[in-house]
Amino acid sequence: MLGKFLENFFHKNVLGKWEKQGVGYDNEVDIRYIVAYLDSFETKGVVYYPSSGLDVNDIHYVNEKKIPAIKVGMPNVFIHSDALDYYTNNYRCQLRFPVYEWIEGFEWSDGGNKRIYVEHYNRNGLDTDFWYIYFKCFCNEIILKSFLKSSIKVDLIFCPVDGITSGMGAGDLCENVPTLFYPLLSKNLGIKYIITDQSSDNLSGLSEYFSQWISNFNKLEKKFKITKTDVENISSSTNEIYLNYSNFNLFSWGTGFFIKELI
Amino acid sequence: MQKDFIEKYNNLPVYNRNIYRRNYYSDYNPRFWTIDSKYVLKNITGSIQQLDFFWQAILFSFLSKSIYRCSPENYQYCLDYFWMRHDVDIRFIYRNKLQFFLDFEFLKIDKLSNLNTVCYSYENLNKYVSWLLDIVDDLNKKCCITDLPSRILSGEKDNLFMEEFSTEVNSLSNRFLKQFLKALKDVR
Repeated sequence: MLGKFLENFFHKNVLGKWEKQGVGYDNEVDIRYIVAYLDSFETKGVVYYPSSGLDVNDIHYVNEKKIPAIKVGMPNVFIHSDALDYYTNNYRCQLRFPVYEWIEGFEWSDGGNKRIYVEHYNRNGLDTDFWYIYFKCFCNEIILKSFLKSSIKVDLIFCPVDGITSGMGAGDLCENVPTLFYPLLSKNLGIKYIITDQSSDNLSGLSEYFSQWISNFNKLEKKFKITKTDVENISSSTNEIYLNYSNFNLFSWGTGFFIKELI
Repeated sequence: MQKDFIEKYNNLPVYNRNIYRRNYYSDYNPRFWTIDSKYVLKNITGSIQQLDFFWQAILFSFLSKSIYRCSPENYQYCLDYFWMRHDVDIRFIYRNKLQFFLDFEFLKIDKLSNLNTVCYSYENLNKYVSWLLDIVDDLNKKCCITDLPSRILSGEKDNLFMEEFSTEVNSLSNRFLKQFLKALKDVR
């Protein structure tokens, strides 16, 4: 599934011509090889971090040992995206020795700002590995569409600093779907948990934006036809746990957050 | 951990050097302290009890190195824990090995003064072991995902870990090692 998910981005030249770089960034590698390679990988938990920037705190902290309330073991696929151009690939500085060991990586560019990084790491001391896939200069909504197309299951959404509710920071670049709406994707994507700084109760004060957001949401998938009532019911159909600074203080930004349990 | 220890620890003299050169992507520069017998001597003014701080500092540095080597799965969490709770970056470590400081610099101090740091240290070994063990225990309870005492004990099979200590059985570093390992086994 993971390979199929990635393959979506190369279908029919949807995203233009892609320049490829391969194993260890030395050799060109056929996308078909990567697709087959990733499809052979046994996923044990997929985490998606929309508007991640270069933050990798999900890789550090989103696991059952650190957050017992989430029953996802030790996820081994982390998918990130951000519409803004963070000019560097400095996430690599945060995935560093001795905690992590880089195994291999692949990278594609459209010749412009768009980049797809696919990196394979080992967690030292635990003898487990994981894939980190970063879509640089991609709207989150593109990634959501690709999830829906590939039938990949996303166990957890990590959006801990989603203060910009309406746009995820991308302004007019994307047809924005706020993460507060993501519980509506739980059945389609298999989302079990959302870790966020915003309670679903916040929706009640944002009704003036609903019509635009609903319209954007329904564009993610042809069969989607959500209504205002569906949005208003999000809060009552979501079990939320709030963890504050004093009982979980290891996120680097040091604030409290909600865990939304969806299934 | 005492606030005054943290403040003094953060203000120890340092120079920058990138010890993580093996990691191509690393971009940060941990600091190394350049403390020697002259520095200690100059800063122990009036009371031998002030030696306790230097013991604690070298042990704190040793703990950071031990987690780095023996328990990489907990290293990020320990870094964050100290940074968030105590404003300490535990990547800062001593330039020299623990044994060099304990077994050589202390002897030098005693030659240069009438402080008897070696005797004082032997008498207070239990106190230092307890101090370090309390930190290990705190980390284990508050932030680690595997049993930290067990992981540090695995250092017995790690040459780099064992090289921190002299093999001379009566040396200060070796005596400390034995007591520390025993204490770790007891709490495990």
